[in-house]
Amino acid sequence: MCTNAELILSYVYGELPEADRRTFDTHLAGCVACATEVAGLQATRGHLASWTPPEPDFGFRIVRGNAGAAPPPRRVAFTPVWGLAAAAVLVLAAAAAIANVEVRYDSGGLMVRTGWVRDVPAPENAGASPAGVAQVSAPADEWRAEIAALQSRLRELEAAASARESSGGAQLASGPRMSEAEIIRRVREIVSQSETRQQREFALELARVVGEVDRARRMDLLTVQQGIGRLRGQIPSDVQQHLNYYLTRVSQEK
Amino acid sequence: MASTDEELVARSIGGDLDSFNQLVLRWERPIYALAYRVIGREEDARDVAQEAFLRAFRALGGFKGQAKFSSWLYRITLNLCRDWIRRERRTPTAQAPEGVDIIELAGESTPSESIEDLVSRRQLGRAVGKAMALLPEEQRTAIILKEYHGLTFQEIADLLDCPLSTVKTRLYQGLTVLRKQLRQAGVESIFGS
Repeated sequence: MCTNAELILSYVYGELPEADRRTFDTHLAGCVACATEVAGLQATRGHLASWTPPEPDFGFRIVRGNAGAAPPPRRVAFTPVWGLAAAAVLVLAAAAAIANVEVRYDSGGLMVRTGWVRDVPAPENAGASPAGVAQVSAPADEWRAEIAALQSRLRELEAAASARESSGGAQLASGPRMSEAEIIRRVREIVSQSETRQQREFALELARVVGEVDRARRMDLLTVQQGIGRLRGQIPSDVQQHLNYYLTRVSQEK
Repeated sequence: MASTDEELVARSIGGDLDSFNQLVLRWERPIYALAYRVIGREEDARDVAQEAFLRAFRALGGFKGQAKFSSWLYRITLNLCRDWIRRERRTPTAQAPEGVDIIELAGESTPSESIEDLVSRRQLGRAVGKAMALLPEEQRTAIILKEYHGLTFQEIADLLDCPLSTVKTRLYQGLTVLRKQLRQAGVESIFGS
């Protein structure tokens, strides 16, 4: 090859000016090395044509998150804020559901249930609880009211932001606009306050549940002890000694 | 008459979402093909293509029309491809099915092309994909932009922010290496050149 690579490349890709192309055509007719190089590059280009990408199903389209006609970048920029708010509501709802504990201690043993199960209609025999049952009623209505208040507050924030968006520059000019950072800070504040309240109430309720379970256990032990006392003389003394031993052990356990 | 890219971009900036989606529809295949050839993975190439459109949409307000919309989109896509390569820390690989599905191929063949020809073309395409994956990223990108997207040397230089002579050097070196690799793979003896 006696010509520089850039010239050959421009020739192969048809990017030489017409006059230069004619001159190079003349050169190629008498230069085997350059003609071989050009043929090689053209063959390689021919091979490249066989490499085709697969044909995937597309269907990717940009869609609006909400109704309204705000400029696209701003619309996209707002999405995380309301996503965060929605996530906050979900977290609160989940936390409230987990904290809403119901403890039953009856002849069937100790039963702990979580969630809003107490809203389900009670079975018909629920009123006839045996002695020693400790059933705790958590303040579900209060938590619901808190969540409803939080959701309402978030809706107010969203409505206020939407109103500012729709009024555009005029709104910006007429008063200070709540920044995204400010909105996030307020949402976090509300979430934090609510979490603290729920944790405190949950701790109080748990303490009450533990106390009632303990009282019920003591009553059961007393009942069992009285039953054993009535059986005195009817069972072998070694069996009675064993029963007393186990009863003592159980009553000492926390 | 179909709107030009510039008209669609102007309407998109004005808030017309349908216009932007027309741009997506118009450019999704070339953008996907670019991503696929650079990174070599079907699923990841689709993700890169979608992300490229999303970024373009978000940055549309800042697009002043200094370059063609397609060049701007190519630049976004190539940046995403580079990020992918850096993140994955691996050489792109040309994905290719192990076997050849004759029924699938029959659907692709043209009246002038037999199944045997199509199988040969597929095998050649696979060999080319593998050889391309071995090239340095700069050479591979230059070849892809020139061969498959028909950009001029100057457009490639503008897109890659490098001198015209650098583009030609990368392209020439890439084609030369590719030719040798294909010869070593027996392509020229099988398919002729």
